[in-house]
Amino acid sequence: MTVQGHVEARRLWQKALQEMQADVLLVLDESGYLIDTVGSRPGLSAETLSSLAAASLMALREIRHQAHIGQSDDHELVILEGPQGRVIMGKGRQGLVFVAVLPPDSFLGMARLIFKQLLERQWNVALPSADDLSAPPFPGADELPDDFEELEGFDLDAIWSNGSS
Amino acid sequence: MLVNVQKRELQVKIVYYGPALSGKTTNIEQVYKSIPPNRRSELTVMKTRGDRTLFFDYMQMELGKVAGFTPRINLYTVPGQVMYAMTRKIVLRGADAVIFVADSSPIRIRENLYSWRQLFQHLEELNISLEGFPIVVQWNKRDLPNAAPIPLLEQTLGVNGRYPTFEAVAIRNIGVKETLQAALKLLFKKGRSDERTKSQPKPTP
Repeated sequence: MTVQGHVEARRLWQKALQEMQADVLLVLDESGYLIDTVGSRPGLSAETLSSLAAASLMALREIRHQAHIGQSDDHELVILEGPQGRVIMGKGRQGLVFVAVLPPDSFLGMARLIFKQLLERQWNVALPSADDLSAPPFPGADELPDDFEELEGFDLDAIWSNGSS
Repeated sequence: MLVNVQKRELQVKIVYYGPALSGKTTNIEQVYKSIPPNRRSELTVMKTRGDRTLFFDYMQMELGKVAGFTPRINLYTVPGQVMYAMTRKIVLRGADAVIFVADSSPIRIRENLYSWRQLFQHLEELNISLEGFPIVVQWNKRDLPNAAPIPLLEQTLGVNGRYPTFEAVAIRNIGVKETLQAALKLLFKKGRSDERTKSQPKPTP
């Protein structure tokens, strides 16, 4: 099944979030670029989690590569469990990566099933592209900032402290 | 470049690329130290014991409101070691600009060249149009007593005025800001020219 457009995709991600009883679902590309977040969890940094998840999946790929065992045809799922909950992550078609954070009382079997469905779907949402400004990930995203000149003139000195952290 | 009109956000991705141990992580660490905490994310650094980047380093910074939008700048480094070519290519995907960090040590010139060539190979494989693609070159470690002369470094990479270049001592936070500023300027300039091209009426056949 192919899901066209970000609005439809987002609706399905929200539905998946509810069915998995997850707190949060992150959608990213395989480099860790955060495309969307549904749900929330206090104290969770979506950007940091997405870059770490992408790195972990890259690590798995490198392990396969270094061990000469070949890449799997099936979608690889990683499940982490701890006393405060669970994390499920995996890479689906087109390199789209999903990360779900679940509370401890969630039903893992159901969550896993729903998650697999996410990975198996064909998501035709816009992924970041260096030279494709016309691929809007959100409705109305074709209204780009009308003043790139102002952006071009931005001076880093405005936020650069020259000090230490 | 991702634009979220609902949130009035502009997401851009800049990748620090270059040979192993040239100072890519040091650059991003200096950016992290120089930006106030309320304007940046935490820095994710994955290093081995020998200070080698395993996968990538990452941080996000906010420029504040500019032109009615909040630009969020995502900074990545790639692992420099030769064996991580696949990871480098993945991290490069979706890049809006590249900062190439070259090592000024004369014994690293070959590594600079290898990495420079691989960068263009990856960009081509990723179907990133090289015409006008923002690349800034940083000659790092200029404080080395035997640092290679800039003309030699430029000649080796074939830079010769085609890309902006900056001298730096990243470990002392010298030249880091200037390099990043140049990359931002170039990528927003490209955004402007792309926007102009897009808005021009297409000729009728």
